[in-house]
Amino acid sequence: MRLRRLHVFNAPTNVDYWDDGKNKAIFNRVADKCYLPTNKLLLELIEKHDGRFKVAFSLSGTFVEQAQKYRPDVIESFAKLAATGCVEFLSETYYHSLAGLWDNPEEYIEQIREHRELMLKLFNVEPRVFRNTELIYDNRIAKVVEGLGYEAIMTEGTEKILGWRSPNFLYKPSGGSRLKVMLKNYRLSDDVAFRFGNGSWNEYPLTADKYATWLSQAEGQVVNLFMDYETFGEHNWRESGIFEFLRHLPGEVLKHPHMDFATPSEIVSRHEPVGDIEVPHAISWADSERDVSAWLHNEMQHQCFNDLRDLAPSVKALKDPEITHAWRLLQTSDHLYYCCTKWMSDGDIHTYFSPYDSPYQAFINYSNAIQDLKRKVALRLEQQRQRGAALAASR
Amino acid sequence: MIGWEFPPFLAGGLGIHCLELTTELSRKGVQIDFYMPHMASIEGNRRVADHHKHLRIIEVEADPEVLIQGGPYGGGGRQRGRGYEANFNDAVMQYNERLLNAFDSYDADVIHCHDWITVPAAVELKHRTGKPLVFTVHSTEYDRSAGFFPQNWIINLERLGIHEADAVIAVSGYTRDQLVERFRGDASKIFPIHNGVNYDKLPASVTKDYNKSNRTVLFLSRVSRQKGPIFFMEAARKVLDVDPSVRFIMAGKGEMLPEMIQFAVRNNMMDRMSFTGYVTDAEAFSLFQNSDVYVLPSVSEPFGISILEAMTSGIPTITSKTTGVGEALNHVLKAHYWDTWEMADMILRLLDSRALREELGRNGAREARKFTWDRCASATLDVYRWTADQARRRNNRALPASVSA
Repeated sequence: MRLRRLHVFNAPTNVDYWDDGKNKAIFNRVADKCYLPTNKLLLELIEKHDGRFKVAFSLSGTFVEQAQKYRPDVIESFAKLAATGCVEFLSETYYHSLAGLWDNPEEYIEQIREHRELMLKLFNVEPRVFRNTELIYDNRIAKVVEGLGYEAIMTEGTEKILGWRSPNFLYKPSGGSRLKVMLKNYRLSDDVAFRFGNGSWNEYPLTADKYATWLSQAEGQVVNLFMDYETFGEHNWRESGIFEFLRHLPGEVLKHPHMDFATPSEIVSRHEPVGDIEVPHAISWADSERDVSAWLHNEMQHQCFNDLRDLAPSVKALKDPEITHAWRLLQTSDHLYYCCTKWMSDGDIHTYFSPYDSPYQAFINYSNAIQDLKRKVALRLEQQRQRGAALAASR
Repeated sequence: MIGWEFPPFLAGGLGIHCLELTTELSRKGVQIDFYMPHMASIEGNRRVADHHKHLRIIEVEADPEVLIQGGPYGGGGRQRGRGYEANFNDAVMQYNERLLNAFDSYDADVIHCHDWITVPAAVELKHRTGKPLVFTVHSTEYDRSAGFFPQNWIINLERLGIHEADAVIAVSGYTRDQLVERFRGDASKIFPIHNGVNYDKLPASVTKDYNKSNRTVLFLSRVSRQKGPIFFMEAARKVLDVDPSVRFIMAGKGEMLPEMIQFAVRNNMMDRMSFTGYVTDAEAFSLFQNSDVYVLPSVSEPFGISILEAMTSGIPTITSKTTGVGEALNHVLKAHYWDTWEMADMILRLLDSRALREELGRNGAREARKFTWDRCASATLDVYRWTADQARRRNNRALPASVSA
């Protein structure tokens, strides 16, 4: 969701910080290049392979809101996929937020609940598997998620937590937890998500049969391929051959008798964890560090993160749905991602995603929104207090 | 090399550029004959050449010495000629004329001249000697006039230089684009080479205390139209409308200073403004340390060494999008020089957020150090080589076939 260009001067009269024009244009573009054609292809593949091809999705609440507003046909196409029985939907925070990193898990739990309600309403499903924003995970998050009744959680299969061990197995959080952890095989996932279209990669071009062979050579219980859906059609354009690759992939994989496709729930039912993972410091699937530095590396990011978090008591006290919704939308991790200054000395992978000229511009715009929200919350709380006082006085 | 000023005389940007460039070039083994006008010396008869050992400096007299015949009473001797004309433009023309006679560097591989001031002589010398010419454009008349009544005869000289030179060095990609678009320069022989900064005179590390905020915004530069002081004042006014606690400092002198003071008076800003006039380097550094934001909304800045000097102190910087140095900087905030709403917004955000100031300031200080004179000299040497090479090739081709037989 793109923020409008906000200035200290023309402060908006309400908390509408969003650039509807831009959001609509972007959503339309990605719907036409990615969501619709890929969903259609997946539907064809599921039918072609008689239900042996399986896929899982995690759709954020903000994604769904935009689809409902701009492209309801996208929702319909996901509903069709849901009806096949071969597609599983996961749980995440409604707002794709970093609330999981807050000390107080209350807000985090509420956002997860809001998302559950959405999945039930939309697809009549109750997800059993959880996936946090950007696969951010640590011991505490695992505890909270287990407490909510989920059977499994997904995160990044980084050496930081695995050591020499393979990500192709199920693990569980240390300390007698019943939660099962599915780890992304980042090498094989990134081969498709990042390297597929790179002409200077030594394995270019990646064909479905070559990739299926690699998959067949992997040892373990499961190979988890997690990636942004926009990989298909948006990051990798149609001309790159990504749709052809996807079209042939299930067939090539199923040629190997020891391999098949399964949904996360199926994996969780079939296998038991082979070991513990201990994650005191949060990991994620972002950047080479695979930690949370993409969002919380510099002071500017910390300031925004803290400001939003510290607004929680006031927002809860206000009980104003419009303010609460705006506050939560501002928590979407993208806004902090654009304020990252890490990459500036190295390369510019972050700039591909950022609509701003510089992370400083991003911070200024984001800050303007947050400060404005703070002011409005204070204002409305004061109004409420006055109204309450007037009411009490009139009795 | 043909120049105009050289430290310790008139050490403006051009003079400093020539000093640093020649120092680094001579370190790389380049021999340099440097021509400049002989100015009336403040220190009596000491010559510029006495100050520098790394190159041969030829100060061109305005008029040659006159041999005065002895009379019946003896006397006679040599009389020094008149100095250069007091009128600047006349002096420039005189210098170029005198230079043609004073020139004696016939073993040079390349002639390198700087700015329009040296173009007439340089072009003529190229034709007379057949040597290839490299022309560095430090600024154009469009830059200096900020679009206000540029003098056509200077533009014509600049155009002459750009077209006649075998290679043109522009101090930035921004200037190069100007030369191509405004002067119809040939892009294939225009090379953008960034200036450097002598970091020896600047603080080695950032000692700024970002926690101490005086809520002060600084403009430190010549107060001339080119530097956009009026836009600084406009942005200041907008900031004060929202937050009257902010203070603004305009440090420097120039022909627009009276107008800026008038603006402040008319807009009731005088109690929030300080006009310091000219400041020394030490005073400038103190201002950088104690101000929160540095703003330079240049209308057209071919490079912008002063921006880098400010940044090395760790002060977060706002500059315009029309600066040469901006094309290579990530850790500055950039706004159009006329967009005073945007600048005011940036100023307010910077004043409110210590995190933003420190992040921008520290990263900026680090980034500003990547402009070295060594880099500049290496790139310049490459242009010399390319130019000499091209000239050699042309000469070889020009030989009629029968000669080789």
